[in-house]
Amino acid sequence: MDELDDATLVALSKEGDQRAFGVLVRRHQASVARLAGFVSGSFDAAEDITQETFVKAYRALDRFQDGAPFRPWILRIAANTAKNHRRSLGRKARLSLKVAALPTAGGTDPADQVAATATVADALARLNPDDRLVVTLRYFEDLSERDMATALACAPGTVKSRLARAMGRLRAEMGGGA
Amino acid sequence: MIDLERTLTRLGEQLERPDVDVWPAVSNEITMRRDRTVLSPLAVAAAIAVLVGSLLLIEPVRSTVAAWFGIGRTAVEVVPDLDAGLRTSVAGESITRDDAAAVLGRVPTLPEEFGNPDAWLQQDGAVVSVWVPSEDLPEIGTSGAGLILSELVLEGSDLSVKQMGSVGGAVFVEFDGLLGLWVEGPHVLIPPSGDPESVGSVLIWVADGIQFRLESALPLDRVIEIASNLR
Repeated sequence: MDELDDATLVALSKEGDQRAFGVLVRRHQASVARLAGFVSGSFDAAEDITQETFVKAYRALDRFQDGAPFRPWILRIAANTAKNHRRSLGRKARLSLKVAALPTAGGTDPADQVAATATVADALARLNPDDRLVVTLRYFEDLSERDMATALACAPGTVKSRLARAMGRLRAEMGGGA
Repeated sequence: MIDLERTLTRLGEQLERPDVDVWPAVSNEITMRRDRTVLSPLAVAAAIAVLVGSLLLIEPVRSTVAAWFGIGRTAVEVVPDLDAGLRTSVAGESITRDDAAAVLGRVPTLPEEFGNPDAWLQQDGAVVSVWVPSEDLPEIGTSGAGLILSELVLEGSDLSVKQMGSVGGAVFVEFDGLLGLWVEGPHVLIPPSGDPESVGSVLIWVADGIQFRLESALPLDRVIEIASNLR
């Protein structure tokens, strides 16, 4: 069943096949958890938010449009659930980003590249959750504008402007250095 | 000078993905819920929707159907020539949160994710909470509002009438064990007092003697998310 595409797994899930939904959960839970951490400001809460996201999605499967991409839909539910968690906790968490070592083709990161990545990560952590969400969807989840519109529950025409505003604020957080 | 876009892409590759496996917990949760549900409310709603869809076309049974079906003090009327020239607006007397609590007998309900509204109004006995448009809440027509939540104590309240161009614009939906009426797209509302006005998409449901009405320019699944997170 692991080889089936999302659309087939959704169709099977709608028919009550829980194993199919399980494959969807395990396929997308890492992305959902990362987004949940970004938006809620707490990677400690990400697992609970991820669990709640998939339970909500299962309950809403009947309303999921056949043929629509699953990933932006589940990320939208995750973003809203994470926003709710953030508000309910009254959290003003300072997001801490865990960066894994990623060798370049040459074997190690050049020092300036490491410094640039650290600068951007630090500025990103200071952005408000809505801006972080837009940046995350575009650059970390690599969503198209159309899928971003689905994930953000906004018109496709407003995705560019939201991304531009978020990038502007990110540059401002970096002190205009980019 | 940092190439921001390339650096972000690289950062995305470097950020660790949380190592979680929520499927056992999710599986347990949805299995428990399914076991509690002997008869699907959605299946019941679908069957009744067909019946109601035909009954709503018959004038004498309109209000009876509305009352019987439990959509509070809102009747639905299908008219051949819907007035498309009406403006959208938000009307009512400005009140305080304490006033709203006095009307409802409890504090007003709020969607968790949007917090306190930008205004509380009272119209025809209903407490109307209004949020201005934002990135998450597109404006409803030309109303100046992005989200309108109305709460009406059913007992002693008057009937409002919704006018639609066709019965296909209204469907019954199930969420959180509740039955709601979803009227999609601009349609006409005739309040107990005042003039007809154009309103946006609306989800109406009843709980604990209160008719809830959530108006927005958002799609149904998003509206249900908001309705599911009212506190």
